Amino acid sequence: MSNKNISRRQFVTASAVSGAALMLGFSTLDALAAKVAPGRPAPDGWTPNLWLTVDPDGTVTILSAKSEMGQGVWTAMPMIVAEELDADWSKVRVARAPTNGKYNTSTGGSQSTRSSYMPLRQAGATARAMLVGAAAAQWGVPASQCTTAAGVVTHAASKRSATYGELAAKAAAQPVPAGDVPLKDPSTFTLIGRATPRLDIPAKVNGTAQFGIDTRVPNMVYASVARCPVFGGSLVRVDDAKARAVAGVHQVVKLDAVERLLPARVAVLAEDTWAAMKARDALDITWNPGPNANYSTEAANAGYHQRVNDDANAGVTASKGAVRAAGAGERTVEAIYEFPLLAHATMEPMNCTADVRADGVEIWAPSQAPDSIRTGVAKYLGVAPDTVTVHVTFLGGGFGRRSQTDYAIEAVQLSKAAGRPVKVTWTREEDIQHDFYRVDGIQRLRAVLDAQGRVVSWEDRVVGPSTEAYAFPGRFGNRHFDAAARPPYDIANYRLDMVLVDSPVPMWFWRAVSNTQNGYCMEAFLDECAHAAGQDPVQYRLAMLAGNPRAVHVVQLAAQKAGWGTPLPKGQGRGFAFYDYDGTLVAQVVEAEVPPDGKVKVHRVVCAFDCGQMINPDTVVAQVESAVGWALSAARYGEITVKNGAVQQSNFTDYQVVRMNEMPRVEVHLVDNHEPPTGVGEPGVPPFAPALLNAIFDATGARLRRLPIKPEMLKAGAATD
Amino acid sequence: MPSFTLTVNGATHTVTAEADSPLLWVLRDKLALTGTKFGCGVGACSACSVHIDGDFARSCQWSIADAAGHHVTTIESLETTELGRRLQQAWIDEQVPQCGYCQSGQLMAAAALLKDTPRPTDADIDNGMSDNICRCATYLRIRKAIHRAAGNGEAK
Repeated sequence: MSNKNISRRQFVTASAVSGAALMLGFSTLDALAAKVAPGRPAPDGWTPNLWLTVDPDGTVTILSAKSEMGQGVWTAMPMIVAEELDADWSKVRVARAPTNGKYNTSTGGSQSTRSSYMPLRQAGATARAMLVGAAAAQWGVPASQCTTAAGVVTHAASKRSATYGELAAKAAAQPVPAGDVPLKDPSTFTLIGRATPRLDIPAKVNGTAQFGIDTRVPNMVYASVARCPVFGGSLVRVDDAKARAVAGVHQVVKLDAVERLLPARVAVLAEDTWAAMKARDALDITWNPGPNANYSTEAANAGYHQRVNDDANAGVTASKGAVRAAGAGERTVEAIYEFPLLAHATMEPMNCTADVRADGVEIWAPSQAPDSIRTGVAKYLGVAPDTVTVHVTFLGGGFGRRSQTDYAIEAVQLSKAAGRPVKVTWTREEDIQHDFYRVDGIQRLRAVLDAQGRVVSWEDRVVGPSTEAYAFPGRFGNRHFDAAARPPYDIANYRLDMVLVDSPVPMWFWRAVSNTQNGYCMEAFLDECAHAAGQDPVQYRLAMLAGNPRAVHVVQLAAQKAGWGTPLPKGQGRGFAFYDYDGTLVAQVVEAEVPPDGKVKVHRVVCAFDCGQMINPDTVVAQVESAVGWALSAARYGEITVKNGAVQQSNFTDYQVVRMNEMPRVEVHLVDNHEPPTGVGEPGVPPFAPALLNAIFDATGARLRRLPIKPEMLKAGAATD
Repeated sequence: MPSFTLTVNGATHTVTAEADSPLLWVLRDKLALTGTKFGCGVGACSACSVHIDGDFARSCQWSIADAAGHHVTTIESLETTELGRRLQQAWIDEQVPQCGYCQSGQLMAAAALLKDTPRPTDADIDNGMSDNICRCATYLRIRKAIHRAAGNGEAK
């Protein structure tokens, strides 16, 4: 994802003064929203994004418009404001901004910090300037002689000081500074860049943190839903006699499909979740499987291979120079990499609570995109968005899944049918079988190496479906989220193109989005090029990164910390990968062992990580650890298959994820600098799979070009190439 | 619907429920103890972990009929024991939770582990905790926090 088009311009307005509290509103533009809806003129570019309140008792409350899903925004956002405000951190509180269209609430794409950093700093600095102005006026001294620290303004010469709380009412009457207020020199930061305990953690160790699934409202009933298992199918008939006989059942509701959002369904509303689930299972339903009755991922994959030479339908998504065939003394390296559909499987299954009343709609949702819910529900019901209120809870994992709105529209449908509040809770089976998946597909890579082994021409063709083509048909032309990535290396000629294939499988953003498949294909293939050239994979990359000192540093740091080139025990191998995730530079060294049974074991992951200015370094480390575990789950186990139009996996029993006994040691080496902050939550994901595959090659000589890595691919005696 | 009596966090409750209703949903829906989480419903993720008569149990796999007459302890009362408080503080000190959804179950599993194995090795922890899934993969910090709570100092 790119934020290249994001203007750094921001504005600050003193838009409300309430009582003794000083309140500032300010704006930012979220890059993901811009990407999802390109061409939409940023309405004046900017909508207020966050409110800062200084109370008379000195408490500073910062409203975060970003959803906390484990990535630490609940702490990082206020840290940025508090730094420039010189607030007393012990008096800072964070609260959720309302979903009213005036804030940009979209949380995803590792964008929250990078897009909010400058506006939040300006907000803090502007508030500080007004507090200083109030103190200076009160004391009759020049503002320039006043200093601030820990929520207190001091005039040293006259030995006077006042707390922010004492000054708040007077500060509210100060003129808002025209234009940008000077910001701190980052070398003087005392909070930004310091490991800071997260504000959401205490509630997450005693059961009090409120997730969406924990919502309880008066007069609520509970819903469980039977969903047409085949994508695009419809309901023929339902016999609900047995379901209605289950004690506590109120109502059975038939629901049609909502295009590209929800399948045909039959829902049961009951006194409690268990009664609803039990009755749901007692429904006797006949589905019409519809046009996708014969769809299978196996056949789809074969189809991707058949179209790999379909030049006439390959849309170029990026290019530079002119790609060419190998000349004298040169050689061509070519390979096809395959990747499967992946489910999100957030620990908290999809759920939502809705109350559709005559005077308005109220929704409680664990959402990454509450404004999309607000506008989507308004459109669905044909009501004004202002009548839709969305309360955002903590999210039991998001990973992109919760940027969708399907679960909220469904809760609204059911509340409308019931005439009372409804909480709908998906089973794990529904969550896995009715996800919006990471795309499947193949990539064919072709490189021409010159006599020195250097890549002089690079082609990367994607064959497969596109998230955008599924979710936003006709809106994107030749642009695709799922296009191949531009190589971050100095390669004079490249061409990236895509043969777009229709698919009935719902698709959506998945932690790191297309960077997952792109990092895998690109960095595993580059390893093939290095070996074809007879060169060390780290040195090979360094030679092509010569003009990028930050990238060189990250590559060298990972290699050095990992002991690249030092011997490993027999049966073990070491693999390297590098990825530029929209400015966040990540290098990983994976040490893996391939035992005779083929069950690959990852022992150690060394990661060098440069995301520019870090806000909370411990959160950065945690996110890299998390990304490694996430990517290992996908590499070892992650595969959704469709047969006869329906997903075959159903629960953690057959859609496995790594557990503690499989988690490798993770060593994170952070690059400490003051460059503009880039993303943290996703960038650790893309380099992991290729580094692991390269380690397997190092250990065994087997070059795997398909995920996930199944033991039978590596068992002693398995074909290796 | 029949009635069942059980003790939850020291208090006696009589609930009306279908006999096959999992303890998980009784706790969450009927007793409003929502700290215990639903993750899979099939005993595969342990997000719903509680203690029954002091032992680790997956509340999605216990029917209310089976749980009747027993003493159930949930995350809401973890802080009432010295071991529970040590674990909670260790979780905070190591900054374990990310999304946090599985952490009630992780803490209840850890408390059961330390009750039986007060000074666990890494292998003990891996054995005791690998039924619990964390999609944020906070496993390394969970292991460190358990060592910290056990007074093991740095990980063994």
